[in-house]
Amino acid sequence: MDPSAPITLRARKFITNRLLSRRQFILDVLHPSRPNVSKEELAEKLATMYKTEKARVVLFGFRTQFGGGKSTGFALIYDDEASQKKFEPKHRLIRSGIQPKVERPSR
Amino acid sequence: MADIPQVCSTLDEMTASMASVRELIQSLRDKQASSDATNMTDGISLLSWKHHLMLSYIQSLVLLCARRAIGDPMEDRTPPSNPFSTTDRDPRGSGIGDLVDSMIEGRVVLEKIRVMESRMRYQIEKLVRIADESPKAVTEDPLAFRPNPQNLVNNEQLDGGLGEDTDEKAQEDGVYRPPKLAPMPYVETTSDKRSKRQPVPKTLSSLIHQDPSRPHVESTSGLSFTPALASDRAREIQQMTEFEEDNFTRLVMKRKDARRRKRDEEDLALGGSGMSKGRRRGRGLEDEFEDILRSVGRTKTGSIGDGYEELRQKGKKSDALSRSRTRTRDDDESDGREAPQAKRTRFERERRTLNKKIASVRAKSKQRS
Repeated sequence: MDPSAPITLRARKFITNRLLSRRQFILDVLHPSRPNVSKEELAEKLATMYKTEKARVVLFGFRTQFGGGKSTGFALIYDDEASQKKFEPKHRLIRSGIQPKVERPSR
Repeated sequence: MADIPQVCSTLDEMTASMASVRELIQSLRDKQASSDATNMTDGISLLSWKHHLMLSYIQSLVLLCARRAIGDPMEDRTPPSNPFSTTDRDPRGSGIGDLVDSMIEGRVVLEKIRVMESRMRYQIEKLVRIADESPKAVTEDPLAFRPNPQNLVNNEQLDGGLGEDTDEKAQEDGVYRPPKLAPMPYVETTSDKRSKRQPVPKTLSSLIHQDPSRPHVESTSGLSFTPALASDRAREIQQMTEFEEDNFTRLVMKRKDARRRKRDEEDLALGGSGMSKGRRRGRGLEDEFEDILRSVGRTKTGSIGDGYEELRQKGKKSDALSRSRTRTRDDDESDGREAPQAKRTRFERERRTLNKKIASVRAKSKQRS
């Protein structure tokens, strides 16, 4: 287990979604000799790759393939914060920290 | 000697009270003559019968005391001939025994009346309450009457003028609903027949996917994984992953299904077939001959047969129910067409005729030129 081993990111089915003002694709992460890569690290790498801010990158649905070494998930890169706030579902905004979680009293 | 004035005063009291009673009775008599409350032609109500019974009881008691005071013996009686239940029973005689008998009768009837009253207690109380409190009309208050099961009748069961409303409602829907008058026989649809047919053996169906003479299928980028597409489960899982990638979501499943899917994916990654229950059927040489063994006929117990099971079953008579059915499968299947064709709509027909006309016109113009 080498935490600093290189990772390969591959984008599949890349679509520029003008209606929702974002770019969306399936992300394949190849990480041999490493356990799962965290979403923050992936967001950093994607931000440098696609020349955006780290906060605009949204990652979700990552599943590791059997045997390890490869995981597949979905990635969205928004154009700006306003559109992200408009189109993203609330739970993902809370995950990325843009919206605070409202604690409601349980029934 | 001191008793005498007492007795005189008591006697005076008695005469005075009797005079007042006489007056009361006179007024009651006048009231009775004028009013029709005592009209007994329609029968007597339970409650007023109680009053009359008690009155007659008291009268008999008084008469009995008088007779005893006189000194008559208690045995004279002339009982009536008919029993209690006949309506035109002739009245009793006026001996002392008759008085006693009538008292006993009245007592028994009063007890029975009490029982009946207890059953009707709710209604009586309600009527009394209404009579006491409300001057308003009883018919306006819907709670005044007992529950009416007739009100529960469905609107559609009402006949006459309301039938038109139901027709309009059904027509607004746009769907024709036939009236349910008589029981209709169940007619099988084509989908039912298709599901009841014997399934195609796996050795034949797997040839479609695994035919070596057909070209090998791959994706353009070469990146998507190709599981062994022999088994249904593998194809199912591949469809699931395709759906997830196309629609940018993950499928929501129950925990059991998710675990089964993960297990099958691992199995496929290692080269297996992905069927979770493969171990249970049959023994020996399963990995290679799996397809064939699955399609070979099995006996009732589930053990693998020798492949001639189908032939044996064909020779046997089917059960009585299927024999009694006069329409056989051959009649339905040999309609002339195997694949169901789409119904030729009017649009299609007109299009065909037009095409023919155009073609004929073109042919004629070409002939001339």
